[in-house]
Order: sequence, then structure tokens, then C-alpha cells
Amino acid sequence: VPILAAAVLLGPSGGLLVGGASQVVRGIHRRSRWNRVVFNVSTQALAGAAAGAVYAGLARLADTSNVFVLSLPVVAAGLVYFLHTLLVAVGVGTELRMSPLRVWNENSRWLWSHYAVLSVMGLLLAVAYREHGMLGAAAFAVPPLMMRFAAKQYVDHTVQNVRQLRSLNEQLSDEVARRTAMEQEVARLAQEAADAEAALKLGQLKSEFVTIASHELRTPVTSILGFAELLVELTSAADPRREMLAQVFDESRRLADLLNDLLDVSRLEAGRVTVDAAAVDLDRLVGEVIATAACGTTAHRLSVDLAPKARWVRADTGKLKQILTNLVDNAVKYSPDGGDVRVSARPDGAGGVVVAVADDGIGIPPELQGRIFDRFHRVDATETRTVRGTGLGLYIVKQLADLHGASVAVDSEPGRGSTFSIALPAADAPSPEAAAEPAGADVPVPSAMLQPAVA
Amino acid sequence: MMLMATPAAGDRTARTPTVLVIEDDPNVRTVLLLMLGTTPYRTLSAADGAEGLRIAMAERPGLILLDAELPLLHGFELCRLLKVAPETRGTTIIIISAKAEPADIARGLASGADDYVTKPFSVSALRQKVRQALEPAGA
Repeated sequence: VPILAAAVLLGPSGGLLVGGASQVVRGIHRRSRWNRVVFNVSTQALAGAAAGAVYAGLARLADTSNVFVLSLPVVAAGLVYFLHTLLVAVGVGTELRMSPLRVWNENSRWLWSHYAVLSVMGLLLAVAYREHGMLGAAAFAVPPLMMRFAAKQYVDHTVQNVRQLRSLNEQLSDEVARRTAMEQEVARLAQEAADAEAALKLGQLKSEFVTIASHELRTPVTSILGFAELLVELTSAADPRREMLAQVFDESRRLADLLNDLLDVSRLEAGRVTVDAAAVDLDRLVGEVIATAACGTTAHRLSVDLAPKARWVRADTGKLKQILTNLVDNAVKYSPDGGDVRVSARPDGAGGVVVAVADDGIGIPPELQGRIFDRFHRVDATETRTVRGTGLGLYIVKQLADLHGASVAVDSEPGRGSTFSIALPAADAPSPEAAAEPAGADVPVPSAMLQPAVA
Repeated sequence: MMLMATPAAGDRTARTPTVLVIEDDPNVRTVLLLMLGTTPYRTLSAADGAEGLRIAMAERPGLILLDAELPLLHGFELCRLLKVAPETRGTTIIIISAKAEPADIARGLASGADDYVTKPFSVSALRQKVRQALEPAGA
């Protein structure tokens, strides 16, 4: 406003002076860098001087009474606008290495309305000064200044509102992000829960299937096994068919063992096997196991060696019987006729008892010893022809020992035999009378499987 | 052992002991009857629970080999009845079942059975149990 007013009233020199001075004041006020101030001063001064020159030149040419005289300030104002903004655009474009036209187009073109308003005001200020002196200029200048003050207040307030709004917006987006993360976490957990439930259901289904399948298989296997055994009994030893029938009988018995083992494994894996620990008399239990094993072989020497201080252990009678039966059966299976199978029990010196089953059979190579407790693992595939077994026995032993919190260890050398040992906590004899009672007088738990008590 | 039979009446010890087989599967029933055929005992058989109950009441066998899953009357239920009836209270009952779960075995023994044998069974071992049940030690 003052530049244009000065340019109209005082000519080019006035525009130049006021334009340059205004930028000096502005630069000092804003603490701009010196090169920027120099640039602003020169562009503004140049624009102001040019506007003044054009206005003065055109005013001289034109008839002042003519209505076209009104267009002169407009031309001058337009000149100030274009000259100033284009010079700034050239400066900025050079600094940013961008096309000045693009800079102008993006940053300065929209300013034309500002320049228009300010130009009109500068012109009116000049007219007011010429017609009414300083008083007129002041009377004219006050309302725009007040308006500017009011507008600045409005803008400041709006800026504050915008800041507040932006901060709220940030809070909101943080909240949204937090919620999204939370929802994703919930979805992940729900998925995990669903997976776990599906796995559990699958496990239950598997267990149920094995139970039903083994139950349904039991009846036909019972007939096959029964008829085979009766046929073997009825066939004389000289009859060549007896050997074949014996094979049928052996294989059916293996099938029956597999059914029992599968059922055990399925119950173990479904977590349906619980251990009911009590004081167990090893003297009696091992006696029963050995008596049962003796029924299956006449070619092995079975012996028992229990230290007097290792007679009572804390375990589940039925499960421990199953463990020892499996280990003794294995010892018989994997040792040649005439082999020794020995069950022993010794205190381990730390309040426990180590029960061991030793044989002098084929043994287990060291590299396989870590895998023999896996499901369906057998020492040697070629042995499956001669050695009857399900491949589940040691797995069941390991699982049952785990349920007792006990560990099963193997010590073996190929060709020299194997010793399986299980460490159990020792127990006190229930009472002197019970301890003194002769072994085998009464079986507390009826044998579910058919195991004749008399060898 | 626990499977020793206690003859209910003096007059029956003079007779040849009788074994009753109650089994619905014809093949398994045949196996059991053939197995008993190699023993000196008199054998009877029934194919369902109701028939088994009727024969047991009329014949008062010394031993019953009882299947669990029977038509008309379940083996466990029949066992309970036989163990309370005065006529059969002294009869030894061995349940022979395809149900091998510990819970099933416990239920079978809870019904009063003297022993519980799971299928498949060993003929020779079962025959030994039959002998033990019918011939008290020392006899």
C-alpha cells in the first residue's frame, strides 16, 4: 500500500525508496539472512520504481479528465504484482534449481487478489492524501489497519484451532493404531485358541478312532487266535502243517499285542492315563512278571536279584508291572535261546531305587540308542522277521516312566547285551505285617490280560 | 488265588462241574466251546443275556464265562443279577470282553465278577483259569 501510494504521489524515486525501505524494515524485523534482505530490497525497490515510472509516464500522456485515468493505477499495480512476484520466482527458482515459471505458478500466481486489494487501497490512500492532506490519509488508513489487526487475530485463532485439531487428529490416529494392533492381537489369539481346540479335537478323534477300531478288531482277532491255538494243540508234532499253524498263531498273537499297544499309546497320548502311586513290593511284582515271562519261553534263564533295601518303591503297581513286563519281554525277544535275563533292584544312594532289566542278547548300536524310545522304532529292520514285536513297547515304557516322573536309561553294547534301568523313589514298607507276608499270597489287582500266575 | 470257586452245595461237588458260556459272537462261542471240549467239564452255551440268565438259574453252573456286550441283557447287568440271586451267588464269573479300557475293567469288576479277561485271549491261559476256578487247590 505505501509503495504504490508513494509511487503514485512521488514518482519512480518515491516507489524505489519506500519499496526498498519497507523490505529493509521487514528484513530486520524478521531477522532474515542478509542475502535474502538484499534480494527482497532490490526486487521491491525495482518494482516500486517501475510502477512509479509507468504511472508518471502514462499520467503525462493521458488527459487527466478522461475516465481512462482510473485505469492507470491498475496498470501500475499490475506491474508491481508481475514484476515483484516474477523476480522473487526467478530468485527462488535459482536457489532451488527449479523452473522460475513453475515456482511462480505454484507459489505466487494466487497472490494477484492480494495485490489487487492492496493496490486499490494504496491508490485510494494517495487520492485521500492529495485531496485532504495528512488527516485524510490517516482517516483512510485507520480502518484497513484495524481490519488487518482483526484479521490477524482471526487467523491466529484459526491457526491455534488447527493446531489443536491436528493434535487431536494425531491422538485419534494413535488410538486407531492402538485399537487396530489390539484387534489384530485378539484375532491372533482367537486363531491360536481355535487351532489349539482343533488340535485337541483331532487328538480326541484320533484316540476315539483307535479305541473303536481296536475294539472292533478284537472280536475277529479273538476267533482267529483261538482257532489257531486250538488247531496247533490238535495237530501232532510230526505233522508238517503244525509249523504253519504255529506261524498263524504267532502272527495272530502279534496282532493282538499290537491292538493292546495301540490302545495304550492312544490313551497315553490323549492324556487319559493317570498314575496312582503307592508303595509297591518289588519282590512280589517282579515275581509275577518273571512268572508270566517264563510261560512264553523255556529257552531263557530268568533270574531275580533284589537288594533287601530296595524292596519297596513308590509307583503305580499296574503301570510298573507293564513297564517291567515290556522290558523283560524285550530282553527275551532280543537274546538268543539259552540267554540270561536278569531283573535286579539296587538302592541308588540318594533315596531312590534303580530297577534294571539286563540281557546278554544282540545289543543296540550306540547311534540307535537315542531313538529306541520312539514310536515304531526297531533296532534292525532285518530283525523284524525273526523278532516279534509291535515297535511300541519301549515307547510305552518311556511314556509310563515319564508319568512317574522317572527316567529310563539304556546301557548297551552290540553283541554283549543291553541293560534298561528305571530310577524310582524308594518307599517305606506299609507295615511290618504286610512286609513279612509271603509274596504271591494274594494279588491285589486282578490281571486284566490273561497272565497265568503259575508258570 | 482269587479265582477259586466255592461250591454252593455239597450235592453238586459230586457232579461233573458245569461251565456256561454266554457269548453272542458265534465264532468266539465256538472257540470257547472247543477249548472246554478238551476239559472234563460239562458245557452249556447261550447267545444272549436273557437266555444266559435262564440257563444259569436252571442249571446252576460252577463257572460262567460271560461276554460283556450281549443282546437283551448287558453282561455287567447280568453279572450283578447272578451275584445276588441265591441260585447263582456261589458261581464264579469270568467276564470276557473286548472292552480293554481300565474304566471298563473297573466297571466289570464292580458288577461282582471274579475276573476280567480282555479279548483276544490265550486259549491255554484261559483254560488254566477255568481249571483253577473249578478245582480248588489240593483237590
